[in-house]
Amino acid sequence: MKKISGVFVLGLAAMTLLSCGPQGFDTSSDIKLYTRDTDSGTRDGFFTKIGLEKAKADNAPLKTGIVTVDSNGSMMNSVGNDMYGIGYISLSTLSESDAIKGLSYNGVEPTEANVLNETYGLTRNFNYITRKPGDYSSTDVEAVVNAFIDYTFSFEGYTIMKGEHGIVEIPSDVKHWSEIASQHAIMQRTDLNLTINVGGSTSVSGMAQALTTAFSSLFPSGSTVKFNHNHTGSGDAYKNTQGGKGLDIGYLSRELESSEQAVEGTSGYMCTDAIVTIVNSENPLDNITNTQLVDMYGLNGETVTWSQLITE
Amino acid sequence: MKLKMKISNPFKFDDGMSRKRRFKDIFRNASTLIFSLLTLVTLIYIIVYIFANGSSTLSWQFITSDYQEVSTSLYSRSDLNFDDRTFDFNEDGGEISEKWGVQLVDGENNLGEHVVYFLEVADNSYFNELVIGSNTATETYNNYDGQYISNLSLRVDEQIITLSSRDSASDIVNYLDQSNEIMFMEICTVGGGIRGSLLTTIYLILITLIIAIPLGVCAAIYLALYAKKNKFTMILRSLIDMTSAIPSIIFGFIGALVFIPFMNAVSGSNGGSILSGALTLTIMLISTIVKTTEESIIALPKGYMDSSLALGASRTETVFKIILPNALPGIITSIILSIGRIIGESAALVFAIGVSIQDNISLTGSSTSLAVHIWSLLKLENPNYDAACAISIIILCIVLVLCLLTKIISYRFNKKFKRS
Repeated sequence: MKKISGVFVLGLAAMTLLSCGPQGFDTSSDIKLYTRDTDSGTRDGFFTKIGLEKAKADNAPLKTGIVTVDSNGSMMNSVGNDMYGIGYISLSTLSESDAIKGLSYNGVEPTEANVLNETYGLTRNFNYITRKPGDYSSTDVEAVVNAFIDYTFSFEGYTIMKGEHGIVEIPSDVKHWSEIASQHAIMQRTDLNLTINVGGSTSVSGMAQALTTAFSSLFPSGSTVKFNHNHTGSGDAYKNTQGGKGLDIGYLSRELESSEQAVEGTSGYMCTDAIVTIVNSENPLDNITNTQLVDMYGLNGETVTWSQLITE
Repeated sequence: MKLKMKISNPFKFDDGMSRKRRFKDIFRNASTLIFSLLTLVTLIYIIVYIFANGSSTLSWQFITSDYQEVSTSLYSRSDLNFDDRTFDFNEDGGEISEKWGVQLVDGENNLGEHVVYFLEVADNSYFNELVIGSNTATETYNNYDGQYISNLSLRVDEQIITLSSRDSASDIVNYLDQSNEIMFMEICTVGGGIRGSLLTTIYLILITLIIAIPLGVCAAIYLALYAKKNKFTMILRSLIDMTSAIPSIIFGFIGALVFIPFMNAVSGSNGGSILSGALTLTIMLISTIVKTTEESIIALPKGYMDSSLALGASRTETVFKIILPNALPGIITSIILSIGRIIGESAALVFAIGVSIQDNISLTGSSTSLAVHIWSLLKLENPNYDAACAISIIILCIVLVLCLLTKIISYRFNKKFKRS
């Protein structure tokens, strides 16, 4: 029995030894690149802004061996677990993990103030798109969607967008919802039982949920308006609203493409978000420039190890 | 047959073995030991991980509260005036706004995110004079218990300050004390609870068992007692065996293709429902129930049947009064195994019920089970591992209880037959 427990302890010790790798950051290591999937608006914004535009919908112009992840959350986990990894996420999610840190871009720190005064360059816009007028499952749904879009741009809507890390100045002439609500007769109905399908960008999902939660409580008792959220990426926003079926409102964390022609008045700008380049918190790097990023991600770039960026 | 081997110490060998044999034995024994240790360590790691991450989120509130948040929009009336009233608070801790008469405290919601709760709103607080809808409305609001501040816009010296639940309680109180006007405040009930999914799981278990047990037990009686030993029975048996080996995802899309349209036509539901999910699970579980029940009937001493018939009872009487009561422990074991399978099933239910988490459960409406709830939490933009672990703890506990029950029942079953 003694021997068996001895072997047991030995085995455990071996396991712990195995699980502890070498400590400290080794600058001679290769850079491990992470990117989002091609449906992502974050990817679109990142590659457009650093000057590698042809990579936004295609992995071919990127270095081989790049790892594709499919949400901000898994990007944070991947880079948080990979000491030599580099990736990019939305600024709003940066504070949620201690295992990663955000880098300054071209010497400017990623803060809301720096985005508003336009010194931080790595930004993209949050936009919305709805179905074409008359193309909804019922006129009630259309009326609710129109009211909801107006709510988004009311004082209350701006407050919620800012609360969800949207970067936007509240316009000085913005109206309170109580002043707009009277234009929407649907808000007085007491017999509604509707489900509105919302989807699109995963980066906007938190904001969209906060807006719909607040909005759906504004109906008088008797009416239930439910918002069904299914966020799968900016690429599905146009595809599933005006390009097809499935969504009543779609959100994009990029601009509409030239191939995505929205009917006038059915799409618009909501607020701005910053994209942050992230590395593992063990990484000594603090700042990165767009040319460094292109050299790192681009197929013909020459940066492959961290020592080319970090000089001790 | 049991091999009688002395295995007190696998590394001690009798003398007289050749070196080659001894080396081989050591190698074999060491590999079994290493592999069993590896399994043990992995299992312990999983359980420790789940408990370490989930226990902070797991609470009675997490189990009983709704998933959806309900929000209320509040405003201070444009004619609100501040007088020199003072406030009394009974609760300790938190941050107090002496101007408005509220006590706020930092906390976490069911998803583990930082939020600012109302700890106490004084009876004569200005917050009890806030109105719902707009700053000219008259309907006041005074039920702040257990709610948190979701968003807040304040006018401070002609500037608009926007705050949210992510800001600290001290920041919010600080700005409140400087402000005379709440331009907009959204307060929310705490969401993220699993009450709806827990209820759905219970409904699923009940309905599935109500349909599956009569079907399965009758089939087992037929196969064990009535069926002739011919080719047809053989094919039937192997088909039942095969059913239990089909991956559950296949049952899932069969459920989506067959049972969802069927239930939509019968009950007028729209899309997946608890009933369509239960029917899919029934098909999955029948093979388990048939096999376990049949084996427990076959295992009964042959004398039971013969003595009953010899005493003049008919065959039917014998089956229902002698065989079934004695096979009951086996049937109960199969029921418990089925419950375990229903709780753990996710792949089939993703298709057969759907993944939308609901609070108001109806048999014909869409909702989701605990296992699929975990899946939904992990596919969010920021996967919520803590809440997923908390649900895992609940599932693990239920499965543990079920395992113990099965053990007790089979122990009693065995003891009974040893006596006879």
